[in-house]
Amino acid sequence: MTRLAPAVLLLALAACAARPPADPAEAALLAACRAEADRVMAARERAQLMRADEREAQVGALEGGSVRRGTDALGERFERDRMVADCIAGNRRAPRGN
Amino acid sequence: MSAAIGVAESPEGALAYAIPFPPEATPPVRPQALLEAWAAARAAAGAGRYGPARRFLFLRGGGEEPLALDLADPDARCWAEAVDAASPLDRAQGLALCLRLLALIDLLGRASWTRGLFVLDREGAEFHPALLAAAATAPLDATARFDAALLRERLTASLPARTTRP
Repeated sequence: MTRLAPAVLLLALAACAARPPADPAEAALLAACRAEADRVMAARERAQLMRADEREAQVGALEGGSVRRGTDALGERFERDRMVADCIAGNRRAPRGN
Repeated sequence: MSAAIGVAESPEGALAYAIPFPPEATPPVRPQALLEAWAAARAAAGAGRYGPARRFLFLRGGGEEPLALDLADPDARCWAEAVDAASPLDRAQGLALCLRLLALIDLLGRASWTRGLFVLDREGAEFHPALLAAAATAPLDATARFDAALLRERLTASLPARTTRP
């Protein structure tokens, strides 16, 4: 496996180098949708932190918090990716005349 | 503005442009020309054409340090190459087209209010003419980007209008 690693790395680098240039509209829309998703996620995170602070102030630190936060991170990443995909799809018009 | 834009090529093929004016003095272009530059960039991307790395050095008066703008990523290199093929970047108009195209793409990516002013489909991008006109004529800032707030003000003064396709 260790002998394979450099070859895998080279393949990965080759794949990066071979990425075709992006359509300008696709590039702009992807950036816009990522920024929008980041804004929504940041606002949501702020609201959750405020609620968690309130809870901890009332009942003390919750047990199992680190496990839940790890699960939340995966879920949030999935949620962000879904938001970006929905945003891109929502800003595309159906092709005409097909 | 009439002074020539100097171009030098490195042994690796990278191009450096010495531009005798600051980004704020980038001349306006015709909206139709900007639309054509967009279409050319799209076609070049679709064809998988790459371009050389480019560095724009904007010379400033009064002994100020020149501003360097590097086009290093494959997308910007491709788009600049497409503009250069149609309108050489060592001329003010070609350079203005390239800078305005890049600034427009940047604007669409960071200004959420532009979202309703362009749509995508398989045939390309369609822009609201007011957005296109503003991008063709609004001044660039000192970093060769659009001032999003200023551009939005221009747009609100020019609605409504119909859409245009490249």
